[in-house]
Order: sequence, then C-alpha cells, then structure tokens
Amino acid sequence: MRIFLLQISLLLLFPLGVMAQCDLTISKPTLAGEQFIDNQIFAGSKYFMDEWAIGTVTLQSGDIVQNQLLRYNALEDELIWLEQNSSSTVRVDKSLVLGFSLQLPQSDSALVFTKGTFFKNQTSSFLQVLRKGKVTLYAKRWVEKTSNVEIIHIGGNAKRAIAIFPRTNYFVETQDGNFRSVALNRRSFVNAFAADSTHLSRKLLRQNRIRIKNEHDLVAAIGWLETNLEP
Amino acid sequence: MITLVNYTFRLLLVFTLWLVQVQSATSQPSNIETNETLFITTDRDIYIAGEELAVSLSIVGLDDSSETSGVGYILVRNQNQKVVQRATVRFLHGRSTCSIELSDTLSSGYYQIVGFTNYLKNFGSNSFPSKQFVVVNRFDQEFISALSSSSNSIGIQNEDDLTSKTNAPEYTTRQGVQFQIETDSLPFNEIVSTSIVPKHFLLPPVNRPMKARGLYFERDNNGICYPKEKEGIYLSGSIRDLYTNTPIRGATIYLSTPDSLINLQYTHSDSLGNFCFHLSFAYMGKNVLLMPDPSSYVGRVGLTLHHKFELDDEFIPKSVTFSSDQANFIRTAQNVVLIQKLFGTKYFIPNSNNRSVTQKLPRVYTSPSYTYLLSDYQELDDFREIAREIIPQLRVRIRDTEALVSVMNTQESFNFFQNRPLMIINGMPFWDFSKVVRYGSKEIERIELVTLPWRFGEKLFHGIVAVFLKPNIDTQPLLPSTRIEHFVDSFCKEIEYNHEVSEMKSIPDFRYVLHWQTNLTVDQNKPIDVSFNTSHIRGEYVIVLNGYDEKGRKASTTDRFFVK
Repeated sequence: MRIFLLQISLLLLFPLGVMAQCDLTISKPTLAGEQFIDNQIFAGSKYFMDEWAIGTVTLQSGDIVQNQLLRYNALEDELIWLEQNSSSTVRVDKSLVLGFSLQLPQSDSALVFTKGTFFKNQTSSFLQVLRKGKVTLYAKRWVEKTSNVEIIHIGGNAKRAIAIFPRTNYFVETQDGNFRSVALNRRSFVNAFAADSTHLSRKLLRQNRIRIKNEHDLVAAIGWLETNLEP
Repeated sequence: MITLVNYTFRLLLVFTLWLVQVQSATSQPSNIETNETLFITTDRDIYIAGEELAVSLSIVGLDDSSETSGVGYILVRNQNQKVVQRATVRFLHGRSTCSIELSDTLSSGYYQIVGFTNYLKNFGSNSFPSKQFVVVNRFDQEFISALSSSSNSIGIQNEDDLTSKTNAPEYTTRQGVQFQIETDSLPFNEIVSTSIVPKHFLLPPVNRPMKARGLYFERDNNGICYPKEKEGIYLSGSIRDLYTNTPIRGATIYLSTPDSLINLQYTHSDSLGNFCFHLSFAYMGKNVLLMPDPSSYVGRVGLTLHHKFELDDEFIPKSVTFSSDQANFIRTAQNVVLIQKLFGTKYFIPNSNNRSVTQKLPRVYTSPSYTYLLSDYQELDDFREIAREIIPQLRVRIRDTEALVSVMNTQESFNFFQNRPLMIINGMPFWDFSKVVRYGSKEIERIELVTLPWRFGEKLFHGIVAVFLKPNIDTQPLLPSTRIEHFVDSFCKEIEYNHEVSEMKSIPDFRYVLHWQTNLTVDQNKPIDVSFNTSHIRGEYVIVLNGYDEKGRKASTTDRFFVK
C-alpha cells in the first residue's frame, strides 16, 4: 500500500513540473527598513490600530507595495511592517514612503495615510486623509506620553509603565493649498473657513442643523460647506 | 489472479490521474489569444542613407476588457538579419511616432522595419507588423542601375481613392498649400499617419499581412513568457551552470544601476533558470548590472539576457524595380541629401508629448547611520587602516587571502554582526572585499554605513557598507566576473514635423517630405484640413493616408498633386 501511495505521489508531482513552466518570478517592489524587536512597554497602545492590518504602501520611487501587514506607530510616527516570511517587525524607512493605506478588518474600505509637511518648520509626518475634495480633511493621529506611571501585568509579572493616550488633531487643506487646524466644534470650524467664506457663521450652521461633535460630523460639515458655500 | 487484477486496476488509476494532470497543465498556457495588434507606417518607401525615417507605431486593443501595452519596440534590420537601428517608444492614447536616423554608412539594399510589444513576443515574430523599404547609399550608383528598368510604367499605380479639395490645381515651389480631406470617403475611421512625399519615393506596398485576430501563442520549450508592459519594462534572462549548462533554480539575482544613491532590486530564478525584472521608467537610459548572489547557488554559473530585439523569423525581401524616371530622381536625391546634411536641418523635432519620467530608482536606504568623507581625515594607505583609524563601526580582518568585514550593530549594545554585511561599491553590490582592501584615501571618496539589521523585502542585511570611489578609479575590476551589464534604451523622442523649416527663406528648401502627421482624428461630419508649404523639389507628390477600421483592418488611401 505504501509503495502504491508513493507511486501516486511521484506520478502526480511530475505534471506539476510541467505546469511550472513559465513560472517567471518577476521582481517586485519591496519595503526597506530597520528590523527591530518591539520591547517598549506602555500603559496604553502606541499603535493607531492594535491589530496588524493588510495594507498598501506607495513608495517615493512611484512603486506600490501591496498586501503587506502594517501598523501605524502613532507615538513615533512610524510605519511598522511585519515581514511575513521571517515574522520580523520592521520600522519602514520613512523617507522612502509617500503614503500607505490600512484595510479595515471585515470591510472593503481602507484608511489612507499620506506623508507631507503641512506647516512651516515642521518635519514631515503621516496624516490620515479623512476626506478628499475641494477641501481635504486630515487627521493627525498621535499618542501623548504622560508623566503618570501605571502598574501593568505582563505574563503574571507586574511592571511599571508610562501611561500613554491617543490624541487626534484635524487639519483642513483648501484648494489654494492653505492648511488650517480645526477642532470638533462650530466656532473652530467657522474660524477655519472664515477667510474663504464670509457667509459662514455659527448661526448658519445652527440653522442648517450642522453639528460638529465628532469626526463623522466634521466630514459631513465639510461636505455641506463644499456644496452650499463653495470655499 | 486477484493480485494481478488489483495491480492492473491501480496502474490504470494512476495512469488516468497522470493523464488528467498533464492535460490540464499543458493545455492551459497555449490557449491564449492576442488582444492587441499594432500598425507600423513610415513617411515613405525609399531613403538615401543619412536621412531620417519617420515612423508611426500604433496599438489597438482587440477587446474592451483588457488594457493594451504602454511600451512598443521598433527595429530596422537588413537582408542579413542584422539589426541596424532600434527604438523603444511609449504609447500615448495608443499612438507613438519617432524618427530613426539611417546612418550615412548604411549599404544600399532592402531593409525591414518591424514593430512589436513585449506581449506580442508570446505569439512569435510572425505576428509583428513590418514594412519593407529601400535604402540607397549616397555614393552607390551600381545599386540604382541594378534595380533600374527602362520602363516608366512600374512603380505605384495611379489609382487614387482619396477625395480631397486643394486650393489650387497645381503649385509652384515654396508655395503654401491647403487641402481638405473628405472623411466620408475614407475606408477607415482611425488615421495612423499622413505623409506627403514625391511619387518617386514610394513603392508598391510590400507589407506583411496582419494576422492578429485569432492568433494563439504556443509557449516555447524554454518556458519564456512575455508579460504586457504598461508602466515599466521587463528584463528577463536565465542563469545556468557554466559546465553542465543545467538551469540554476532559486538563485538570487541582484540588479542595480551605478548611482550615488544606493538602489537595488532582486528576484529569483525559476525551475528553468529564468528570471525577470520589472524596471520602472526611471531605469531608461541607464546602465544596469545584473549579478547573482554567490550564496544562493553552488558552482560556476553564467547569466544570459533574453534580448528584446531578437526575432525568430527571417526577413526575406521582395525585389523591386525602379522606373527610369525614378532612378534618375534617386540619383539626384543622393546629391540633395548631401546638401541637406551640410545645412544640418532637422525636419522632425521633438513634440510636447514627450513626458518626463516621474518614477525614481528603488532605494535601499535614505539616511546612513554614519558617513565618512575621507578628505576630512589624514591620508591612509589601505582600507584596513581606514577602518581601524577612522571607522570604529567597521571591522576588517584578513584571513589567508579573504577579507572579512563586519559592521557594528548599534541596535544591540554595540556588538558586531556575526554575518557579513551588504557590500556596495559605487552603487553596485559586490562580494569579494579583498579587492577593495588595498584601496586607501587616494582611491576612496566616501564610506556610508548602516549599522542596523536592515530588511529589504525578504532579504536581511547585517548592516550595509557602501564605498564610493573617486571619479577616476575604475570599478570594473572590483565587481564579480559573473555579471551582465545592459544598457536600458531611452524612449525614442516623440516627434512632429518641423513646419518652420519650410518658412526659413535663408536656406535652400530641399525637403522631400512636405508633411508628416500622426495625430489626425476622423470626425465623419467634418473634413480634415491640412496645410503645408512646397519645397524647391519639383515633381509629382502623393498624399498618403494610412489608417485602420473598427475591425482593426489596415487600409491606405492616396491622392496626388504637382509642383512645377
């Protein structure tokens, strides 16, 4: 019986060799960066999304690297890549990256991040693109390191760790290339667009029942502004 | 008896399974039909050596579902199958036009211009469109005499089918001409090219019939296949054992181009020893080096590239005969071209369709951990001394004749990596450091170090040492012998006809081509307006329109006028 199974296996493998014709392995664009072991401990997460997400990276060279496991380290503003063959974590060379996207689990949509310098004297950093149009809305995801030290338990051991908290700042970019920061309230929204639209006022927002209490409201408010007031 | 039946049954079962597998494996790749076809046209059929040939290569998708190639290739070969000119073109909306210089030294004879894409190579050279033309050397009288006939009835026939309206019945030299082409009468709906040339520079068509539709490709035994090139080109080759000629499987091949910024790509060879690189347009016009990683194979190997411009068919010219008038016209043209060369006037100039390349070379790192400019230090004799005196992050040891290099891992308490780093010289990887050891401050300009475990795709480099030599130092002896250098052709510049030449009264106007245009569009309701100036060359001129219909069939139509 063993010999029979061996015969079958060998004979079935032969045609696979025939199939292997024209299996040209074409070079693919790759990510590059420092391989490291993440042993920093914090009370809280430094990553924008805790789980590895399948993502696409657009490189400065114009190449696009697809289907990679990625995480955004919001504390250090770094793109982290899990090299699957070796299961090693890599801090991607930021200067080689133009932007990246992270696929949301169980969804077709992706979160898009782009790299750039948005204010003078500022180093380039990754910003999430929440909305693209005449007015583009960016979210700067970052993590605040506090002076508080908390005790956390890892593998049954208690350890002291600095407490960190996720934070977000919002920026809008108008068609003329101006960047302004905007907060999640009507006053800030009106101030951000005061130069572009003189008609915009908190009263007008109230009349049109435009609430700006969260990120979703802000995206909707900019959509409303674009359609009705054309900044 | 039972055992025999049992055995036969098993054997039959195995054979059936094997047959099914083989059938599915072999039938799949050959069942591919081409979904793009090409059209090639030139401004005329007879040239004098030293002139420019204007060529148009157009690509048409045969179905709506797939994109057509973005890159095309043109070659000119002679009767001896030697490629005398070649060009790489980039399609813009399926069109491309460029000029090919026919060298002064070309011998008189029949030539063939062939257009193809990387993808069409799957279907063999028979699927490539081609056109035969004649080149007459400026000093060759025998060739013209040999092809001449005493009759004047040969040459292209007066069967013009193009309906055009001109602003005068005939023209004088250096006169403005305007004519309208009636689009209703055109046998095609897409114009590929329009040229206006003397009748005597045209020959009866000897084009290879197109057979794009229903063309299936049969993969060759070498397992080479040619992907469609869109935003880049493919460079493929194979790696084989030098002694046994057996293909090497799984070898890592590196590709880089000499540059001050470290760029690298790698791929692996397949079961037949074939490998393929996708090169972005950033590589165009650059020299690339391909080298196998010695740690990925055993023995001595050789690399070969699959050359794009190698065709698998032969050019068998069809002989033509010049009429006596035509022969005399060509004899005069031999002298006229000499005058044209003296004035150096260009009739085809680059147009605005030439797009700049926005892509960049794929870099390995952007900021090295340390950079040492040796001019900042006292002069040192060799690399060992440099490492010892200037670079604490680098250790160089000599064991027998081998130089061992290791880089400090600044990530881990400043220990040195156990494994060798990626070593790069002037932007190209190399493995034998013993050749570099003798180089000192006189030869080396700069040293860059990455003192981190550096991941580049699936490759892990244990630090990187990049050595940049002074400009006068030759890198060649330092590179491994198993390497291939290949120049990636630049795109041939898109051209347009230089109408300004005809308006320059200060120079004699000996243009044979009065007009060349490839961007005309057919609108059934509107006639096409074409305007140009006649030159000093008198005679009968032919307006030639080439195009294709909605079924992808090529057609041409002509009309003529006189310059007296």
